[in-house]
Amino acid sequence: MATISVPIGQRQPKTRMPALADMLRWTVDHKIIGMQYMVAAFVFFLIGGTLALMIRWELMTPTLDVMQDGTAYNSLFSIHGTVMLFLWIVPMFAGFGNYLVPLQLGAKDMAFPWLNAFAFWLIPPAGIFMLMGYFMGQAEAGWTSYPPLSTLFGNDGQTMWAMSLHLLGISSILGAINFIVTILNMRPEGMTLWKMPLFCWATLATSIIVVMATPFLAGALTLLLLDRVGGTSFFNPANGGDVLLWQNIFWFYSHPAVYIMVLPGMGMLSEVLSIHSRKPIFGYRMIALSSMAIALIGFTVWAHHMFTSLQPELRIPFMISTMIIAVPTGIKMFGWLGTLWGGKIRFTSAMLFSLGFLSMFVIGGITGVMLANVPFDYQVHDTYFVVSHFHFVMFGGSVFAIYSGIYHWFPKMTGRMLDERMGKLHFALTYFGFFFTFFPMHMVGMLGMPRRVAVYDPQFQSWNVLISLAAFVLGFSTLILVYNIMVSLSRGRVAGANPWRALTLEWATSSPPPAWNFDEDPVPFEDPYGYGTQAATDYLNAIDRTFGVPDETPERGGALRVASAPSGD
Amino acid sequence: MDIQNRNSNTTGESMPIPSIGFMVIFGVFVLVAGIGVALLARNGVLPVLPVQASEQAKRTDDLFYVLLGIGSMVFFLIQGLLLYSVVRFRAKPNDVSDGPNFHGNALLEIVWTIIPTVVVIVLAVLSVVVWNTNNAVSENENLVDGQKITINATGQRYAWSFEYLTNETNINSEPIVINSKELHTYVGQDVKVDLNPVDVIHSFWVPAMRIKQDVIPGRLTSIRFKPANDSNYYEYTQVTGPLYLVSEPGVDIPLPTPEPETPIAEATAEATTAPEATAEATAAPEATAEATPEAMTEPAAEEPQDERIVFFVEDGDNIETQILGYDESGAWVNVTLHINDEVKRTGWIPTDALGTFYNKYRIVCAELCGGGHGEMFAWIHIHDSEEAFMGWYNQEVQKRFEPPKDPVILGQQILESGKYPCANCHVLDSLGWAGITGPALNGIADRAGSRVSGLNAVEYLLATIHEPNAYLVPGYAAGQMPHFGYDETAPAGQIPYNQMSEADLIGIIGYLCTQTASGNPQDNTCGLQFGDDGALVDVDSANIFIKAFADVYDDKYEANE
Repeated sequence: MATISVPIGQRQPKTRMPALADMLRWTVDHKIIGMQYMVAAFVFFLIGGTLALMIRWELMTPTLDVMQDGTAYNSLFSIHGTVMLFLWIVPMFAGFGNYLVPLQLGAKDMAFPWLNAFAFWLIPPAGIFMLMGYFMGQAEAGWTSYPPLSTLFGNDGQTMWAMSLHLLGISSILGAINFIVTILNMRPEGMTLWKMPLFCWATLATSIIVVMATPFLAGALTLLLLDRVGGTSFFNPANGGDVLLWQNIFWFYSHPAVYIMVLPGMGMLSEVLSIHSRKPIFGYRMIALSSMAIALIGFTVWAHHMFTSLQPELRIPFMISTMIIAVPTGIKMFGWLGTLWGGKIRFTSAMLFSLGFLSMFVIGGITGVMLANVPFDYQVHDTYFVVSHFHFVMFGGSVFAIYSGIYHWFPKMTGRMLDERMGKLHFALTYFGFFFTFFPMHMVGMLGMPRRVAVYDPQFQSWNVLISLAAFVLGFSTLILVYNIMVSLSRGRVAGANPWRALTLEWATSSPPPAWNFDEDPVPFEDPYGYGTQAATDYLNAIDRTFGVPDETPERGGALRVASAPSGD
Repeated sequence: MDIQNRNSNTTGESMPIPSIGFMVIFGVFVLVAGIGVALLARNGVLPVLPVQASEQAKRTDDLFYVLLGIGSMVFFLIQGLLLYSVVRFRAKPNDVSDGPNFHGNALLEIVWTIIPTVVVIVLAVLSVVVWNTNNAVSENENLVDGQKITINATGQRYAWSFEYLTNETNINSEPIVINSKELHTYVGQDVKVDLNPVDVIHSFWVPAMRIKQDVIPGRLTSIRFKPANDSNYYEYTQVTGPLYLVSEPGVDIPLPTPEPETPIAEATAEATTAPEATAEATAAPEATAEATPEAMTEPAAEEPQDERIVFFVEDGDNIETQILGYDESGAWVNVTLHINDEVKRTGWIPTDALGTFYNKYRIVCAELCGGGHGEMFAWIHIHDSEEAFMGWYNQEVQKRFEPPKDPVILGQQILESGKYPCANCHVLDSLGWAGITGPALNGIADRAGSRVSGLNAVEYLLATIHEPNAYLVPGYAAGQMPHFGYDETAPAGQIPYNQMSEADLIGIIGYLCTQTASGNPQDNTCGLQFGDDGALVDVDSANIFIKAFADVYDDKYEANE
């Protein structure tokens, strides 16, 4: 079955690797914008990670010793949390979405290219606002910034924090509108919604959440800013305001935001698991529908963050809705296991991180169901148990997915492979460093250590020393990735168009793709995950013949060898 | 490598199904491992939960062990399948073929949707049952001598304080309110604590009781619990001197002959003013705090001691004691004496020296409340019986029957009761305060007069309590200390003041005026006259003297209200 009908060997790569200068350039090319998102997000990841290590350094002893005072420590974790969530995970996934969605749809660009660039360029000023608070008294009320602590106390850094989040919220909404329009309108002929790659499904579900939920964040932030600088009293009970108002609006956004931060990762996981186990995804429709189910049910569970402050009679209904959301998540989990089952698993670095996601995220899922039980939540709410839970979701889930995505799509973005040996070392250190950093936090929390404290009961010190040491290993593991990227950009093996022999359309073009992505409108394969059929093999061989495969002889330098003899065409 | 051979579809199209034997063995493994983890945790092999100090804790823990068991089964099921898959289905070296082309299995997908749904429904029902039982309202709530009282807890940056609104009245026919920095209760009491918000959100959490409730400005919240002690093991008691703490069991050292000399002048002053002071000195835990620092230094100064003596408890001293364990005969007990917050001594004493037993657990603040959040905790003090609790309660009522007129004594009583959250931030050795968030108050009576030009010592002390942000001690952050009284410097929208009655204020100023570095109140710069016995020369004129300055602020409140 011939799907790509160009003369063999004609498409030698004509594109160059994006340079660092491209990252600072105004452009409407979705690929450059995607990489701009990723580079900016990665810089913030390194900043947030450094803050995390300072937190762990402080917690090596039960007294206050590293930081100047308790307020300085509070700023540390407030900025760590905000940076990691809003300047790392969200923009990183926006970057992957920008890069991959048009490619996977065989489109030339996003639906609104200028809007796309504008949405990205809101991120750097937002990041600067966030970090500038350091010079004017940093925000110190946590990433959740509950009033009255965030309205009646604190310095101008808190105001900058709110303005920064405002910009990030606008950026998210603009990006999401773009994704929805692109996905619904720019699919190629023959690609129905049910034949769309699961990453696009996940991005669609995420974007729907963003468009519906983020305006609530904007509302809450506006009220907070008015209370801080405008003399209003929305959250000041002394003048008739209500402190729970913030908690309700904030979590009405921020719980769905958890899914904003994990659904795209789940989409990436579906791609990687299927491709690297050479097997169709198990239960495609169930996985796609469960994304949508999570997006919808995700709006009914916000108050489980408030079990100790909410009116008692409302606690049970939110417990039940929270437990229900475990079901679609479980469906995805089993679907991925079904994908592995019977496959021919290749232990590439991308695959290892996806497998790491499965084994770590499940712990976050189990503790999530535990936390939903109101009586047990009373014990662990606002303790290290919760810190552990959401790091298993946000790091064991999202960040492992991001790492997996980096190893998987780096060849497409740069035309070079990342070094696999360094990748495996990176995985091993990250996996064990992560587990021993965050798993013991469950015990510390249940035994009685609240979160957000620099001074704690000395009985928890040995646990905390173990956690901190593991955290330093985890921090170090990130440097291996940075080094790997640096080295591979110049000396990495040439990737070729389709190094993983994948069926989705982003691989049916040269690496990196040309300015308008495809020289000729690509024809999608009938099933994006249809591995294991002769038709799929023929399709993949046709891509190889068209774009060539890298010569695997020791000489390096990017020569692509083109298939010598046509067969079957 | 030839391109054409990179994919060749040689495997079948159907899903590999493991043998029945494998499925049974794996299923049994998952069940046994899940139940095993739950049992290990329940029997204390895995240390995951603190002691169960309430009825609520027992029910919550039982729910947790169910959650842990089911959670562990899910864990072993997923990790087991994952491990099995990556081992069994890994690609052989040089195998570049694809896997079988199957897309799903309707039956499996239905099964793994229904089973989790059923599991979460069961868990939800269990949770609702536990939740209802734990929050049930009891008829016997807060009964003291058959009458209901109100117990309030106040969370304030950065301390907890507790109030018992008793049914008794004092000599002036005003209701007696017991202020305490510890929450006293007893095993089996149905307790309801009303949580008073003051500044920001705090969260009242007793890890040993598995209870937590936020203290929310603008809302009245409460929390219910019933202290329990199934093991009947008590960790704390009080020991009363004279007594030797010795290095090993069985060491018998004759007690020294009592000395007739009065230890300190202050005690005399107290004894002459308050008729109940003697009873207070023998039993009140707070009263021991100020007497012990001397007790701890004196024996060392006398003569070279027997090396087996770790510590000597003075006659009449009453020290909190942590029980570590008994010797084989049961006649001697290994204990740690908590001489004050900083100083502890471990050794052995005869078992018959132990007083009534109690347990105490930490009450922690679980909601971020500012720079001193980590230090914000208090003790919940659980007496072993209603009688022991009533002993404490009646004694506290007695103490307040006749409020002292002497501002110094009144001030000390207020500060010791923890009515205001000073202790967790400031250092003041005479009361055993060791906070780190605020400036030290040791020797404040020497410095107060010269801190700010134009303000005398009393004016300065009043000003710093009313408007702490306007009179910051260099090196300390603004916005940490609550404003007691109206603060003109508070930014728009900020809580303008906290309640502090003028009587309390006069007492606190009076007490702070005795805090000289030399320890002799006569050295104070406040202008108060103290006699050689350390007591005020003229109580009435001292009250009038301080009140004159305090009235300035009172007028300000009235003008603003």
